[in-house]
Amino acid sequence: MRLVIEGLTKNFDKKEVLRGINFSFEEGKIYGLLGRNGAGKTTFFNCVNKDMPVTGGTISFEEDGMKKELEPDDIGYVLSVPTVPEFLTGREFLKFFLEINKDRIENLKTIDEYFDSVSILEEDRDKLLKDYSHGMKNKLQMLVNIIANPKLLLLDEPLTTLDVVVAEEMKQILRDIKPGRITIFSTHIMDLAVDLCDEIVLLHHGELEVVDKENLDDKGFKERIIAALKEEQDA
Amino acid sequence: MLKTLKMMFALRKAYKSNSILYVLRQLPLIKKILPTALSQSKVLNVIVTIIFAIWEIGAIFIGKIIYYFGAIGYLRTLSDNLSNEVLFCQSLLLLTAIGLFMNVSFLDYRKDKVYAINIFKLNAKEYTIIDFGYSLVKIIVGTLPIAIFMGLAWGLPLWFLIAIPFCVAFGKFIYASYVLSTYERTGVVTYAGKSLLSWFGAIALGFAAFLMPVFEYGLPKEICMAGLLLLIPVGLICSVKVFTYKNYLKINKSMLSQMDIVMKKARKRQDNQVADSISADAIETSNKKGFEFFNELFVKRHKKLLWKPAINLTIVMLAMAVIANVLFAFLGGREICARIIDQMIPYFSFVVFTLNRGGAYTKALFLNCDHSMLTFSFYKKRNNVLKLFVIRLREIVKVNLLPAFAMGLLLAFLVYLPGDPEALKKSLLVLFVIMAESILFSVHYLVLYYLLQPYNVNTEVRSVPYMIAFGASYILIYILMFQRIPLETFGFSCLGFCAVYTVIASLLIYRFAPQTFKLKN
Ligand SMILES: Nc1ncnc2c1ncn2[C@@H]1O[C@H](COP(=O)(O)OP(=O)(O)O)[C@@H](O)[C@H]1O
Ligand SMILES: [Mg+2]
Repeated sequence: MRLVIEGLTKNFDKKEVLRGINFSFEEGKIYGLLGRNGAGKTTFFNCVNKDMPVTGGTISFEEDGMKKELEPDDIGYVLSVPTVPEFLTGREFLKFFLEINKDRIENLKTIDEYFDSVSILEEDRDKLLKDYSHGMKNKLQMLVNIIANPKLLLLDEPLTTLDVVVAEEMKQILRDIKPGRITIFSTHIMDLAVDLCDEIVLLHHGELEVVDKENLDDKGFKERIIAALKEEQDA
Repeated sequence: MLKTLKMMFALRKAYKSNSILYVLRQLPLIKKILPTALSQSKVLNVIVTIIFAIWEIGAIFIGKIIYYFGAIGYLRTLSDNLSNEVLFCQSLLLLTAIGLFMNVSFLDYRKDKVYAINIFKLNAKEYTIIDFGYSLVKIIVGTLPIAIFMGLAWGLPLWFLIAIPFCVAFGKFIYASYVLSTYERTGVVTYAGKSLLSWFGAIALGFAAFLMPVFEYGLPKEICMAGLLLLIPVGLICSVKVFTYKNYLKINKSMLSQMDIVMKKARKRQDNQVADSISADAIETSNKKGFEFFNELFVKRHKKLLWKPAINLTIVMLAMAVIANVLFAFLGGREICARIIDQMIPYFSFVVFTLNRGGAYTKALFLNCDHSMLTFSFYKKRNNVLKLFVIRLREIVKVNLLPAFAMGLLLAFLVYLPGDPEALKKSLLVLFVIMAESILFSVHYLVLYYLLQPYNVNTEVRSVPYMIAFGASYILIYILMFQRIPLETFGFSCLGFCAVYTVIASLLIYRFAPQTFKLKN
């Protein structure tokens, strides 16, 4: 399975944010989408998730040479700002989610087991989500998206708000679940991308460009990325 | 002083231009004409400033025109014998009395004020007083020409007409000093027009203003004039408290904490009232499953916003029914009253429409629920959207049906006053019609919410198509009111239309939900 993007453009009024993206994301890999603030990472995700209409181009799955539209079920999208229903407790939200999606979830576990898996403490499980911290909300949101087991997992700057320990846990989880799906992960923090991702993709000038990771030692690699990103400022 | 004044206008403008821009952007024509960087363009800034000025100045006069020509003008039509002067003075006195505690913009909660004091650190006392003073100046400027124009035509002395705006404006100091002194005593900030008691008072006074001309009962003109003029000295005395009070900063901070987490969330959730409406106690639970579970918890944890006003309204209506009952036991005039109410039934469509909690309900749905839930893909699936829509439809109808039932009872009772079988039949019909209308409006609110997605996290204004659809509903009700359709026909058509509307809307929602029911960027 591949996610194929062809000629994707997106303008806001006359501002061109995405200018013809052609790219193919492969199953089983974690992609780090690296770009500076305002480069268009969130916009790119929103387009893929059909949250906003694209100006031009197509986005589709390709499986055994057959093109297929993206269905809502195929996509899990974790936004950079936490979005959880604040009037529910963590446990209630998870219960609701599991009940609605129980037919699609493989090897269903208990609610507490799920909480354990992302180490949300017992004492927090029955608190209203409006009293959760930013990081906790983020974790819960990731948890829900991971349980749903989507073919395509989009994560918009997910680990930047988590503390070191939790960030490590989440990284491990993402590595564990990467087989069988495409994971795209946006960040402006380079070390994170280098550390976690199989492929690094730069988003600049509204286009995607692969950075070859193989041939460079870590230091040269970072310099190469910084150089590429700096260009944008000068352009 | 001057700096604060300038700042106040700048903030008010900044606050409103967001809304103005939001609306302008949706108008296709303007979008084309204007250059790309909308918010930076000079032309646009000028347009926004002009609209803001028209808005501020227009609001001054439109309100007063409705007040004098609409309200007092309407009361005039109720009486044949009272003289113009008596009717004018008496209505003005009663309506002004309502305004004294219902409509005082002193320390009322407004975002531009909160920003000014808590973020821009303007002097709290200076800002509060200037802001209050500005509202008084608006009253004076707006009232003066209209009171003079109408009053002279009705034969009142000019000196009194000139005094009226000052009576009204100075009168507001009374409530202001009350707010300050209750705060000193209890540490709680009271807001004008929020308590149940004040609503009772307002309704009682409103009824008095309405019933007195109906029964041709007029207060002596001199007493009314004296009552109004008395507001000037009393207001002046109370103003001492307002000007000498020191703890404005503290009281503003209390308002903030009363409004809770507002600032923390202002970035994301502009509507603090809704955000804060989630009840803190998680004790309430639900034994249901799936979407029913989800919905039940939503309703339970938003009781304050959804059920409390509905219950208050019900209490008010029932209390009024009891009061009317007692009154008419002693007073005569049952036939007249029944006749007038009967004639006014079509107008109550507007009341039912206005009292409908659908607006608050859908807003809460968006800000506290859908706004975040719509980022989850399972929530956006057609069949799930439809499932939840049906559940919510039931819920919104329920919330509104209770006060509608109470109001129907009240009106039914008034229509029943003559007590003959004909009246009984009529009164049952009235009850039925009011409830049918309530159901229809509830459905309407929810359908428009699902199909037009009116809310936006950044401004309080709704989307233009939604406003147009709503305006159209208003016009339609207005036209229908003058058709004098027999009540039976009207009631049954309401219900019939409801059924058809619900089915069509469900189909449309199922079909178009992926396009319409989603977050708009
Ligand atoms: N709804 C919108 N309307 C207009 N411009 C937008 C909108 N959303 C994003 N932009 C612009 O698109 C550019 C890319 O934004 P975004 O995708 O949020 O960047 P990133 O996520 O990489 O930081 C920015 O310049 C931003 O101002
Ligand atoms: Mg972003």
